[in-house]
Amino acid sequence: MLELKALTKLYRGAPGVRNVSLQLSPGEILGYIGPNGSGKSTTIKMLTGLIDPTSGQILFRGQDVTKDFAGFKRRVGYIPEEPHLYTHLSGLEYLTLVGRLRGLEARLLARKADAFLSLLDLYESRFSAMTSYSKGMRQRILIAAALLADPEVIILDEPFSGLDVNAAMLFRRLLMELARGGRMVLFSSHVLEVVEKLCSQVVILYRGDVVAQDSIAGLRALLALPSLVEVFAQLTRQQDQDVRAREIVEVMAAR
Amino acid sequence: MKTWLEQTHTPVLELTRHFFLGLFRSESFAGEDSFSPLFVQILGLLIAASWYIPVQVFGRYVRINALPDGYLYHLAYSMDTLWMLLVMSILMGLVGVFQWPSLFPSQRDHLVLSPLPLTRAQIFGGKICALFLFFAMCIAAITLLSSIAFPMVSYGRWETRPYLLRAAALLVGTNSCVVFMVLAAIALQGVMLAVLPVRWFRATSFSIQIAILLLILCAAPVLPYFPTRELIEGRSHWLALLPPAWFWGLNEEILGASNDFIGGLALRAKVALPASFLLASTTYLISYFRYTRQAMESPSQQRRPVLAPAEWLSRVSPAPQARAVSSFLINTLLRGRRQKLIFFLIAGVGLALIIENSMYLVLSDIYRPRELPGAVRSAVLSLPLTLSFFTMVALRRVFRIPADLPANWVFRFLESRATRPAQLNAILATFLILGGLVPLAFSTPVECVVFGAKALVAIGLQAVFILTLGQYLMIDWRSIPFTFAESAPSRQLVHSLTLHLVELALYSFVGAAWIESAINKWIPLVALLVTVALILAFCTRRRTEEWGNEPFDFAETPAPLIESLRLFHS
Repeated sequence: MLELKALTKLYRGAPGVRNVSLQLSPGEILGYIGPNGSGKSTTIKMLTGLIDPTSGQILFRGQDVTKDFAGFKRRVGYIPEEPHLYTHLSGLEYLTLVGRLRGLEARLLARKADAFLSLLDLYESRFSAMTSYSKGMRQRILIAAALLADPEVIILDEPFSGLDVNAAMLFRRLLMELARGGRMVLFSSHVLEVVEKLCSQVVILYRGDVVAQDSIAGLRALLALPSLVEVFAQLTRQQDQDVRAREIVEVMAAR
Repeated sequence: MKTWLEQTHTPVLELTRHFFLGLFRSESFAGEDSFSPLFVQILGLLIAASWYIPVQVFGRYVRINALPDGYLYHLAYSMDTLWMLLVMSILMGLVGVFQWPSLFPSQRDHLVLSPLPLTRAQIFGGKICALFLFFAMCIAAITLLSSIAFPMVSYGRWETRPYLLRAAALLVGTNSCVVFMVLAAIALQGVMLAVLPVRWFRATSFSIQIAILLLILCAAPVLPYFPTRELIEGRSHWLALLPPAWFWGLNEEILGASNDFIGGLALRAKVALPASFLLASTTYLISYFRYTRQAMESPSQQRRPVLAPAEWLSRVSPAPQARAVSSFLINTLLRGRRQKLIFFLIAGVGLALIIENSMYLVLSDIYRPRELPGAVRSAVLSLPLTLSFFTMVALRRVFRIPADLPANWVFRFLESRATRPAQLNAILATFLILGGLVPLAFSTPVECVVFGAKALVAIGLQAVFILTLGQYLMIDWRSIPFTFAESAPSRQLVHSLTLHLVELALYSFVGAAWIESAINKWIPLVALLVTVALILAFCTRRRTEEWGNEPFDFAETPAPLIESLRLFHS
């Protein structure tokens, strides 16, 4: 089990996230949602060691991960929000780089990289520098890189960004398959319809605070709202979007 | 002016402003998102370099004008004029090399600007205007001051020609010469653009940019020995092969020289200038009509690369994590344009120094024939040391230039204490192979020819020197190259240069002299081995202290630094 206990990050005194606590069990896909700037990426960056928490704990199987963060990260596959890649490398070179950094043996790595590239329709472009890749292709490379070393925990920050319909469908099924196989999936996204279909539990974040944490059915019942979108709008105090849309059109038409 | 600059103007003017400012956003030196005010720096450097020429020759003309005969005055004036043209060509060449990627509208320009309500003519018009403005400023900075000052500084009792004529002739000569250099650069790139497929163009163009840079750097040390008196007095036909000499001929012709030799050179200048203009314009026109196809043609490679040096070289490291770092390092060095350009710039200085040494040996009369073989032996022994010094210093500098900085998350994410020492060792091994072994291999044949069997001892000692220098230069290195943001330098530039000069003197010149005596006698050999072993042990110990205990240094991605030239807003 992966557990976050009162995780807090302060940026020059201002809170990025405050007292985030959650649990992620094997076989579970946990939706982690919130409006822009609510602290989703900050939490994920703390989980992946890209930034240090100001306070709080991350426990993996009951052990504080800070004692062996590298050991924890060996069990984690991560897909970042932005497709930051070394674009001067080819897709194959990038997967080889990641595989080696994860300590995979050469022959196994070559076999896995080839297989991932074929399955994700990247095999034809495997020798091309990633500068020529589309956003979707880069996203698929990130997916392959995250899954290369068979992680137990998969952390996804907007994983569907740039994927076409087929690739998104494949990836959705893949996530369900991974969960069925006992992996823990933390899924952060703005696409609430997908979250609703995939996740058993959701955590809703607003301005750095957890404002709801329950199963989707539980939240809908609690707030007497028909969909996750409406639950989300209510909890994150979204303004009347119709009014705002009209205001934008007015500004646009100003002479 | 300020109000005018703040207003929105016609598309061509706005594009001119955009392209003009882009010429100072040097991706070779600054971060990709930073906007350095290179404008002032470039012009200041060019003016200073141009002003250096008249200042340098002032004392000499005082003495020459005091001579009882005017022949030497006129000879010196001719030689200095040609020398000025050569220096100016080199300066303009350097500017051209650094602006090489900006001479034509690029694929990025097409992708960004074409969706906007702009015509292709406007994009090309803006580009041409910006280039014209930029090069006009550079040309003025290089030529004006020295062309006006030199005839004044050299004036003396043997001068009969009016000042205005001499200044006008020099202005025509120098300006035509540097304009020719710019047009020739545009024409050269334009021809490549017109002839080569896009997938070849980028690599070829970059190789030519590097080749020109090396040519300029290697030509610079020859300048103090050129032009020789014999070349001018003997009316050498070699001068006909040198474009700046054509414009020197033009200058001489305006001053009244009338002979076939000068006439021939001047004629070349008169043909070359319009021809280069015509060729540059034609290739620009071709590029204009083929722009969309050129910009959108995919340069991607679909085949497995025939040569994969990163794969081969990374095999020196057994651990996969170390091999990852090693191959990443080599691939980035091979493909990073900024990294390669800076590397060749610094390594080129080393090459220039070696050429300067060789020229000194060949041309200087300081060595008598009996002493020359000894000097050649020293020069050959210092060859791999000098070259390795510059390549290693260049590599260390280049390692600090980040590549796709936000992508370093993959190294940060997968960093571990267990693998850190192996990764740091892989960095050092790659550093030594590229910076030390390659120069040593390059100079081995020359050493074998000069020293015969003793070359083996010399090469062995040089290898130990290279290993020691490698350990010394990487003593505090605790990062994966290309993955961290450049912090402000800890030392001033002058301080760094002085330190490097001392290091170079000790390593290359003192080292070569010591090796020379060590390959002939036992006592210096033992003393050398003991000394180097002690230094090596010290450096290795210092380098591996706390080895891998501290995490790698990954500075947070810095916020883009925007420094305005105040051409947009106050």
